[in-house]
Amino acid sequence: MKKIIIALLVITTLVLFFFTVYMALTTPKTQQNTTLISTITPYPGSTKTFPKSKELSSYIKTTVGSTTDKEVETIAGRKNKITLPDGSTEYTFESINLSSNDTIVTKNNTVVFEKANTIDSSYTHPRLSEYVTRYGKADAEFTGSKTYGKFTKTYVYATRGFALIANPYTEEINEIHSFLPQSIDSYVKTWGSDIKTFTEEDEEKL
Amino acid sequence: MARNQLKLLLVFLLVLTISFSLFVPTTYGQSFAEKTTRVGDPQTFSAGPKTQAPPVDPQNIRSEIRDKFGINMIGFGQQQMQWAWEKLWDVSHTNFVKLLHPKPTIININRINEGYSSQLGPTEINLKNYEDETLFKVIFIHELGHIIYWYNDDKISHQTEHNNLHKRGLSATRYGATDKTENYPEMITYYLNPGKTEQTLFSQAVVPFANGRNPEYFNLAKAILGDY
Repeated sequence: MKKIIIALLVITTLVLFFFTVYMALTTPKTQQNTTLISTITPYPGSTKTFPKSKELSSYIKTTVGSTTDKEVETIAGRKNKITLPDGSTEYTFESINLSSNDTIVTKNNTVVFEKANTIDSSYTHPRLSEYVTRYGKADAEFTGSKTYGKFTKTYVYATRGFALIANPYTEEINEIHSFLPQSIDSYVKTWGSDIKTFTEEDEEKL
Repeated sequence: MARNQLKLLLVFLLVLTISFSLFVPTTYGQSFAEKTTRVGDPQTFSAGPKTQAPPVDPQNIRSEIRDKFGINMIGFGQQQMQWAWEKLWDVSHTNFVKLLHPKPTIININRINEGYSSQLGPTEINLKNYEDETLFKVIFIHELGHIIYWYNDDKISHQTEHNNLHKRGLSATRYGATDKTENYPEMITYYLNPGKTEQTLFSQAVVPFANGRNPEYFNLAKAILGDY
């Protein structure tokens, strides 16, 4: 009787042992559950994989200092055309982003400014870091945007003639501005009307 | 003697096997013991039925909230932390917690006694120690909703889609009408707090998504968070 019990014990132990080893080694990993927040898996589709970004210039339809009014008027999707107080002409165009129209400004029959949204129909944006790598650090950064909110930044490459408006946390670029190279102050005064420094007055009221 | 040694060896092997299977994580990522004692698991972000918050030792509630949800409640009363614990479990079957952490971070929520609750940055919030449970839970989720807006790609947060609705003159609440970056967390919080009237300064005893109200924002919230 004793021998039978011992034998059963041995068999049970060995079966249990090898079963556990088998389960541990052969079942594919699903996901780690841990109480450590640092190991949380990023949400699928997170910023880990960047799509290949288009050239920034591909968003811009004109060449500042060169494209004429006549050429601008051939661009499709125009919404409006007005004359500004200083005599320049502002054209606005359809955009996927209803908060900010694509805009072209001409003066003396030549484009002096263009603003283009960089969001495509699948809501993909180009990434800031790719352009910092290509163009270097911006000449100036301003935090706060009337259109996009208090954390959005305007990165001004004044001497290169462009500026980027982007979410610094996701690095998604919302807009590109193209203009004749100028000083930072000149850009802010002439084309930087969207820049806004948020104060306590603007804060939430909850 | 050999027999006794064999018995000892067998007993040792048995104990080892049982310990191994109970307490060492398998390739599932959890040990058997862990799996059977854990009520729900927000960090796996799995869809499913709502989960009731498990009881928690009040002494440990702050560390439990931090460990399970990545949120550090600083300076809050026991009651408020209990409400936060309940609400986070209540929404844990949606994408809410996952969207708070697109990168591994800890969100710090600082208690304030004066002024207004607000988001200071992508991982920092000031929150008043509201004494009303509904108000606390609504504002708690609202402030965290700001983080979803700012900290996730547009494709995931649906920020541009939301802003386009707002540009068309639509808003989830009267407070949301004042600013699109406030409307977004209003949409989130009232989706996750159904049946609650507007709790903000512009309260007019309206339940934002009741009776099919604001279907565009309701559907957008559902697309972002999943079923509540």
